[in-house]
Amino acid sequence: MTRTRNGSLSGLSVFDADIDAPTFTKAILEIVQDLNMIEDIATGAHSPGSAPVVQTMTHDGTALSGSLLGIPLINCPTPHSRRAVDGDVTTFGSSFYVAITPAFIPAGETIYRVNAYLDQGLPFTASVESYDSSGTKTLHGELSFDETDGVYFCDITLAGGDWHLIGLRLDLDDVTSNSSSLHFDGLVVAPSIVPIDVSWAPDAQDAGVPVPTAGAGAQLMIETFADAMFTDNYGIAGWLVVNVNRQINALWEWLTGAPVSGNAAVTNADSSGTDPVTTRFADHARDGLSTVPKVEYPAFAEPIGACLVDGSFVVEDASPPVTGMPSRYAPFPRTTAASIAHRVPLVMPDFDPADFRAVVVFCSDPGKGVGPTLAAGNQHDVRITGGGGSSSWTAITQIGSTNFYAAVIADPVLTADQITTYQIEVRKLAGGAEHFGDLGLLGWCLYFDP
Amino acid sequence: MAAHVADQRPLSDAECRSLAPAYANVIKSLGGRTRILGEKVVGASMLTGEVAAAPTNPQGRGCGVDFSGPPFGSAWRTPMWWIGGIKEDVSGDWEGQSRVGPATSTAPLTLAIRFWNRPHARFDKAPHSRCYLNLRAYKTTGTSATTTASYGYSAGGILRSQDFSVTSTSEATFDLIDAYWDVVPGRNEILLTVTTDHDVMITGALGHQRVKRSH
Repeated sequence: MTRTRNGSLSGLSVFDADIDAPTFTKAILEIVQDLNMIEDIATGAHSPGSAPVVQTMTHDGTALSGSLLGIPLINCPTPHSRRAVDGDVTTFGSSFYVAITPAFIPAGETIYRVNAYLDQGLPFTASVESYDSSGTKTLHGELSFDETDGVYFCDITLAGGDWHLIGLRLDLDDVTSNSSSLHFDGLVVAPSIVPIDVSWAPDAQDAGVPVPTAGAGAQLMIETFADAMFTDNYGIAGWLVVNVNRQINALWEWLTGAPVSGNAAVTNADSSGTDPVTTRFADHARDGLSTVPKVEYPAFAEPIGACLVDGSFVVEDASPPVTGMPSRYAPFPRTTAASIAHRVPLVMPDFDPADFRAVVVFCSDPGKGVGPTLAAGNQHDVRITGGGGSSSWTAITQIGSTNFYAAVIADPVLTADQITTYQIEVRKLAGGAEHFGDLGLLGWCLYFDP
Repeated sequence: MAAHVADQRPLSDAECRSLAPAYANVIKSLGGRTRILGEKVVGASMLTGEVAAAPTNPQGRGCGVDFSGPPFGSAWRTPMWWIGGIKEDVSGDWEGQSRVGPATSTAPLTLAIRFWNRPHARFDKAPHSRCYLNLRAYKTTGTSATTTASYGYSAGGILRSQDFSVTSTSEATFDLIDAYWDVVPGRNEILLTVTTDHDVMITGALGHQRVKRSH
């Protein structure tokens, strides 16, 4: 039997569905071929007898590839006391990134709203600058102050499909004449969209609208409608109408996660109650119950340290400051033994572990003469450890000709759907003298890049 | 070119069995729902010259399923906001700097949390409508610390709280699932207050959404 699908949606003309209009098998065939096409796009799979799907739901902004996902990049509140800048900052300069971190930009989602929470203890100008993964710098302009919401904001545009270093730059004015402090209280970078109010509720009635139930461990139930079922010489069998109807209902619940209107509850229950490790609905998980295409997903990004705008240190090594920045902005100690530089509890979606990535970015100070020149005896590497294991140790490399250095880690271990503490470990490779203060930790991100 | 049907009404088994009357709304339902399904998948109209008949998603852009919870797909378990930190380091120079902050018997920890929540359809117990808290903490002095996390809002009011016991000087994780913040699509401003009878240090915090379909 041959299963065919339409190359584009045929749709059903209003004249085919008019009262007293004859219903031809051709109309049912077109519906089935439309349904086959939609099913193949949604699942990335195909039922027996048909060719592999040619278009997938990648959510990357290209035409007919699914809605953009609207995932925030950075959602980092910062304790008020953690990042204070005293007025007497002349020891290190008055222009610096108070927060800077790598973040992965998914393809298609390129315009973001930056919200920065800063008190106004010192006169300053705030702006956003970014660097792409090759070190090319982009100036995004100054932030404006929203007096109603008490937040500094601006919109920025970033190229998708790669990670970028996003920095919140502060230029202090009249620093020597002011004894006040400035506090940085948080950074939020999210798609520049205005959500609309969509109210919804499952249907209260239970009208017995049929939805076929997939068996345990099964994927979406795919019925194969063969072309031979649509010969002109036969009437439209009730079996055919029943099963096309059920197929639509099954795909509806699988895709939307909601019961078909008329039903009080979904028929395809998740595998483990309200907190399932796997799900019997479309979710891009590739977890055995779903075969939908993979998506680019920015799961997490956190600014940790700060640096001057040329990438050099804001705080001298081995001398926690009495003025200026907190000592955590200083270059951190490192030895040949692995040390934990940072950790955070997170929960990650159930995507393909093979697509999980991390980027950790450091700064260094060329004026020190002992910076991470990457010569033998002065090399460092980094790994990410989580509840499920450790990534490979990955060398840091210079980002273009900047004073920023990145470790792009290809194999952090994913623990999906469970809260897991992920941490950064750093070590200095053996062979050279140990130094204190070659690297400052700026930020890191985790993402999925299929 | 004639317009195409976009009916969302489902059919019961009784309407499409062999001896059921062949009403026009049977074929209209089959064709209409197939069209809307296609629009939900690809996020736009699939018929040249016709606007999409599927409803706009909570992002306000397009009509596609965006996996923000029913009826726009099952949701993903994701972090909503996060603060990292460490206790350990090799020299002691970093210790006490990278953290959320201390809470003592005389000085509670108060943290204003601003974050952007994924747009989602509003319904009772919807995914992304509740923010749960996970903390990493250790005690710094004294015996076991009875500690309380209180959930408030910048606009005022403490609505919920949950106790937990910090018994070790080593970092431990506390998944506080009996209380939560009610949060909305887009920007949120919430307040976390940590009170304790002995001194504790909070080294990491995570706000997260827990479910894929409904709480």
